[in-house]
Amino acid sequence: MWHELWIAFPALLRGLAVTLELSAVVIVLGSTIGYLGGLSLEYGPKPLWAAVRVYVDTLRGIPVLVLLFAVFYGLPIVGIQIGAFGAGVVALSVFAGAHMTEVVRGGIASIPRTQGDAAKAIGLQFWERLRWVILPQAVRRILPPWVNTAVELVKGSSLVSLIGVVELLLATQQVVGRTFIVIPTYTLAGLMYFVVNYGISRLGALVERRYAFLSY
Amino acid sequence: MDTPILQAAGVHKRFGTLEVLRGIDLTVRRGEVVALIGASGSGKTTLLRCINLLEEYDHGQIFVDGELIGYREQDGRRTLLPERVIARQRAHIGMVFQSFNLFPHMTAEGNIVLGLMRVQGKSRREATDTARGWLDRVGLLDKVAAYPYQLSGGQQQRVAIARALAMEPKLMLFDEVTSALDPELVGEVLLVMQDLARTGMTMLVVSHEMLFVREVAHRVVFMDGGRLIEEGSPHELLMNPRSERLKSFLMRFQGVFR
Repeated sequence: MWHELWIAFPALLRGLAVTLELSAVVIVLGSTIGYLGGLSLEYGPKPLWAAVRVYVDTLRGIPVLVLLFAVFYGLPIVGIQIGAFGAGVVALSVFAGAHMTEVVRGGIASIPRTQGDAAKAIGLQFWERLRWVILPQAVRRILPPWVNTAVELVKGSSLVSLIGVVELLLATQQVVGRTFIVIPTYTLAGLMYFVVNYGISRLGALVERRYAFLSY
Repeated sequence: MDTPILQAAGVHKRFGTLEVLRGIDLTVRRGEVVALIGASGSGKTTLLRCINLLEEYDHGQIFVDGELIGYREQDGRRTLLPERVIARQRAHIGMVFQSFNLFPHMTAEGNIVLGLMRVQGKSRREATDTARGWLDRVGLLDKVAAYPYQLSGGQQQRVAIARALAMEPKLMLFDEVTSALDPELVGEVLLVMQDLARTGMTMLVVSHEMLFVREVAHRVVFMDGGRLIEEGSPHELLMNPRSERLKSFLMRFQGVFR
């Protein structure tokens, strides 16, 4: 059995690489959407605010899997060919963006308005206030829910196995299909997911400690 | 004649249906220390916040050193100035808040350096030197590297004053700056303000510290219900109030004056 697992290991690693790549892209894109969305909700003009509000509320009410199928089967119908991996990136990023938007908005909203007043009083303009006064403080509040969302996304990336992307889960299933070694293979895959997510959590805790003096 | 540092004319401000300022006319000359007194809700804080446009006012005009604050007037219509211009106007008006409002993620020095570098465009070295000079001035040179949470309320407020002064404002606004302090810490902040008044800084001070008002202010203005009711020298106003409203307001401070 150890021998079979050893043979299967490279296949699992290749799956893990796809999982990592997909997760990383989705986290970066989702965070970018979340940053812009959060700013729009907090400071944007009414129409932008309303548009983002609809986006967030809609996306948070739909299962990711439904979204994934809609993108995978829907985009080709309107003539957009992006493949399974591309569909996974789009669906998961749009989903992540909705969640990250709320995370960023909540973080910014938690900073007292008086901080903005003080920043205005010394003559800072909007982006300067954001860059030097509001965001450095908001980061501390944003980080914990951001880590949660990132971990959820890594786990959620396993859904793209259902549209044929050979990421860690599908790679595992293929190995099991060949070797019939069920429990040890899935245990190994589970361990890999765990290591990645534990890494993200530790990294988050590390950054959080850097901002510890903000726990007023 | 010198242009007054502050000239407000017919300033109105409403929040929804609540009329907070009902036509304020107020002039503050260069080097003058004017105290604003009045019950809470009388509009003192709102007036201060209108002067550096933390609140937009609805009618009237506020001039600081001859420049209309916040708006451009053309053919009787007024439009809000672009943010860049408003920010520049604010940079010339120092404000100190009741709740200090130091930036908690920056040291005492960092709090002061921020405006010097980002607004005045000073180099870090230059800004640091200036910041230390002002911290020394408020007696906190040993606290340059301290974060706000490591400072007492009185120390935080002195840093906040230094932060405002470092921008070399034409006018300083003080909004009940000792109201959030423990009684034993009030003195150190008032001392800094008294020192500042002596050096000729133009100051508009909202305060409930009647002894300070009497000793330091050149002129006292009493506000009630969004209007200026009475103004005069501290002695006139505090010892011989004319209006009933001021009389009843001062009753609350009985015992403060012999």
